[in-house]
Amino acid sequence: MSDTLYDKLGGEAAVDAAVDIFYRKVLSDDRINRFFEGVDMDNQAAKQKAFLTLAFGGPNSYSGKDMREGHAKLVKEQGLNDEHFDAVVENLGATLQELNVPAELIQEAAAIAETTRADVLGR
Amino acid sequence: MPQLTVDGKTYALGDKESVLNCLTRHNISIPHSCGSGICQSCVVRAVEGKPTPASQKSLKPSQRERGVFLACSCVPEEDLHIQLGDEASRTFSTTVLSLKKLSQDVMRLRLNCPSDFKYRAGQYINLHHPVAGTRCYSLASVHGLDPHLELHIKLVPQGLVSSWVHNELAVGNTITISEPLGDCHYNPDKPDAPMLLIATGCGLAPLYGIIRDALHNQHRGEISLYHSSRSKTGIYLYQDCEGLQAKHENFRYIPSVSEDEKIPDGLHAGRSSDLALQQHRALKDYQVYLCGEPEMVNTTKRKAFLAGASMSAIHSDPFVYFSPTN
Ligand SMILES: Cc1cc2nc3c(=O)[nH]c(=O)nc-3n(C[C@H](O)[C@H](O)[C@H](O)COP(=O)(O)OP(=O)(O)OC[C@H]3O[C@@H](n4cnc5c(N)ncnc54)[C@H](O)[C@@H]3O)c2cc1C
Ligand code: HEM
Repeated sequence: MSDTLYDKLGGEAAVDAAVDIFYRKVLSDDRINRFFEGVDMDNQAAKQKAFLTLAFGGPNSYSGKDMREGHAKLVKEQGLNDEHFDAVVENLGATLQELNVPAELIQEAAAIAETTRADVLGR
Repeated sequence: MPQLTVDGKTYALGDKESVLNCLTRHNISIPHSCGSGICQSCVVRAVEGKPTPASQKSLKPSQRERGVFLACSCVPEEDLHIQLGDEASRTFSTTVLSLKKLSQDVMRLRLNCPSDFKYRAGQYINLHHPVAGTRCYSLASVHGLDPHLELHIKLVPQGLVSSWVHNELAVGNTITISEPLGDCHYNPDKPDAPMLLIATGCGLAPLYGIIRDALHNQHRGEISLYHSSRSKTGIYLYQDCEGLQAKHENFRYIPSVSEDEKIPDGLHAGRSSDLALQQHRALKDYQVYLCGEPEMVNTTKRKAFLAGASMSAIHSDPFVYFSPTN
């Protein structure tokens, strides 16, 4: 059996290495940081970890329905749209680049994130 | 909406309602204090159903396995059958050894350290008041260095427990405290890491303990303490911190006041968090400690993280207090 992207990237250790970098990028990105203004940063960091595990094709317990419900309020009340989605994917790519992940694996991660677009944006 | 079953009765939870709020709404009273998932006084146990991860994250693995969770932090996602009582953290009975005013509004309370009370400086305990319930106070003493436990308690206007400590408690009185809680303490695995410690008010208590613990452990990295108060009456332990600075080359002490018009000799102007972040701009590899006003702690946490500190290297205790209006 061939390794999944998650294994190729280095599993949970890779996610842990990426969380700080990714979360820092998101908080510094004025296009999207307002979505992440949560007071409890530890909680938010845990959610970033869930996001990255998912984008890396790792073990996760989220269904398309969960993604839809999890972001529904953001779509309805804060106008979450394609532009924001693209920004998140861009930050994901930049994070992996910073970790010297080969380009084809970055593309794989972006493609996995892409499969959630309709659910995340509630379409 | 999920349902909550207690003592054979079932209640419907309201929208986004916590277990604690639901119990209170039905006049079922359980101990509680901070309402923010910190003091752990509202622990209960789920005998059926799964409590939310958020309501268990600060508890020990053994407690989590038994279904123990914090009622204030649990907005159930499924039906829960809960049991009250017996789950509260272990308590210790101790006596007051001394009471000494460190400044106009800060009291140093020294307690006898019970023989099986193991803690790390910077953790906190719940102090039990005969009627007002419990309040959290941080440990400024160092296990293995001080024979006693030490707390620094600031007088809060109309504060039930702080004014009781300031005005009524006397040497020789017996009081009850919980086991030590929290994980804001020195990390001996990083002896070379620079440490940046930022406090407002009695946030100095845990940090003073952590610094003495670090120095006691021969910490080699640079240690910088920023302590501020609105006015100079809130600056306490000045001589002691100066003394530590004179004795230890790697320790720097920067006390400041943020609202006095005239800055007294030896103090700086501004908030501890502002001064600290101005003087330390890149925080990669730092261990950062933040204690005191919740607003300062939360904004500084974010800024420290953006300045390069790793989330896992930021240790903090916001001194949240229960406010009847929110
Ligand atoms: C983890 C943790 C550690 C703590 N460590 C310490 C410590 O080392 N030293 C210390 O002195 N305190 C510490 N505190 C705060 C302490 O637990 C109490 O909240 C504080 O002493 C007030 O209790 P009280 O019974 O005197 O006031 P209460 O009777 O609870 O409050 C009286 C009124 O004052 C308001 N109030 C309470 N505190 C404040 C405040 N700071 N600013 C403005 N209004 C307020 C309340 O909302 C209420 O209306 C800590 C809190 C936490 C969560
Ligand atoms: C790229 C595809 C995306 C995926 C795979 C994804 C995945 C996730 C996951 C797994 C969670 C955690 C859910 C939980 O455990 O509570 C989450 C939460 C969250 N997501 Fe996304 N997400 C995506 C896009 C976005 C975008 C574009 C935004 C906004 C710019 C966003 C904002 C949020 C916020 C704010 C939360 C936290 C909600 C809360 O605090 O409850 N997400 N996301």
